[in-house]
Amino acid sequence: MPLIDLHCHIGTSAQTRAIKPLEFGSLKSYADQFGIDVFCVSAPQAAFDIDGGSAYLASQIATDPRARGWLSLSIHNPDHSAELARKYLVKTGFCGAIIEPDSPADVITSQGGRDVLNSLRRYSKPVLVYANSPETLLAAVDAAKEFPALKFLISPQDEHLTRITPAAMKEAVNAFFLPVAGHAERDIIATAVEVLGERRVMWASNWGSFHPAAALGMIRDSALTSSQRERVSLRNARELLG
Amino acid sequence: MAAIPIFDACALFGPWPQHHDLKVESLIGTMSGSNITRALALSTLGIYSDFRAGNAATLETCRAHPDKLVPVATLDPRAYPECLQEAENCAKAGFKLIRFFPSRQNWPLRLAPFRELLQKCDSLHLTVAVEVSNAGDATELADAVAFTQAPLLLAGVTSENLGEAIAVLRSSPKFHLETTHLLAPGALEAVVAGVPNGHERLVFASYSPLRYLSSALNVVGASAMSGEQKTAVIGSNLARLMK
Repeated sequence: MPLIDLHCHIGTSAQTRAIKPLEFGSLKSYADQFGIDVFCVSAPQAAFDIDGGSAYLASQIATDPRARGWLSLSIHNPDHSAELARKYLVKTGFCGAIIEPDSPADVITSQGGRDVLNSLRRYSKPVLVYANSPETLLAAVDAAKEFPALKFLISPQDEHLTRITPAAMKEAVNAFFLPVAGHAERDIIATAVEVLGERRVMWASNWGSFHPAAALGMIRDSALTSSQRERVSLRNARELLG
Repeated sequence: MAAIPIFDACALFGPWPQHHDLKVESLIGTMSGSNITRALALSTLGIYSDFRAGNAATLETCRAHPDKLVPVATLDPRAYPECLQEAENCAKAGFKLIRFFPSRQNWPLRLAPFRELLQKCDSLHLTVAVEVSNAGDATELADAVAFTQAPLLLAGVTSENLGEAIAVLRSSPKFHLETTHLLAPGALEAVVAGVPNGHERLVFASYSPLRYLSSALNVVGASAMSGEQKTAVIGSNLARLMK
């Protein structure tokens, strides 16, 4: 089954702290092994070193034509984020921006968040938003409604949030659901397809933080038709990335 | 991998918050389709409502599927001292393993009734499994059970807390670790490499049908462990603990 992997991580993440960090060479091997057409990568380093992490990511994705980068931006530093967006998001190698809350209260609808989203409107690239609390989830949904020209990928970061996200984002038609297998209960994929429709559910392995076999198992066990499965694991992502 | 009989350390049935009921038929169907020959099963009533009712439901359901399901009890130390009597009842009824859910039930590991209940379980030769999902939980538990001899399963450990779990596993051979949430690439291999006889200390637990079975199983199958080590993890380690 061909796949587009919408989110992988290179470098040390919270999940791999006690294990050897996974670098870009291993990511390429994973893509070879599993027949991944395109993989979109972020660098956890950018969460604390936004310039160094972005430069590192740019240097790595330039080495493989299948690779795309998620540019990490911060709602606490909107001016600098806009500057980085101008530098990197004009490049074809970057597929969009990723915004991760530093705390459960870091809502994207803060003034800084709105400034960052405003600066992204010119690039026609999606925004991947993490939700790590009910507040950040609802803010991501509100932001999607407020910025209809942007496409939002909403990725909940625990089991409870994963359960409630499809219903919470239903009315935000420019928002897409991107579950993490490590936080997924069965059968969240089929439920999300039922609530949101098959065009608003996408797939990522979160390689680098989670073993891709977990996310592949999630797709395998989901009660989807073959057409829905193909949409979730490939076609929706292809249309999103353009 | 699929041909090896699997012994699953945790399967569930009953109501679950914000989720469809976990049906026994669904559990049995999932097991049959995945070469899971036996599973330690638990009624969720015991987690979210009343442990006595849950343990009774577990016994009844497992008696209806004696070749597939092995009953596991749960106790809640907040129901002290009643929980001590229920521990004795469980031992008499033939339960071999007791599960504790401090995170889901929102009580701290450092709790006098829990300490006493652990002593009671140890005296009754009951193996225990304890949810230690948060940083520091496994350490707290290890301190609380320093006196026990019976095997103890660490449940709910995520890759984020793997370093702490490895340290606890190294501290005593009685500790074992469920694979359920060890989903980072290389996590299982880190246990095998970092713990004496590490492959004998990992126990496969799917939490079917609540969680995706293939996610849990694939991660063991795709790991760099040898075939012999994988066989131990998905079945023979648990069989040894349940003897």
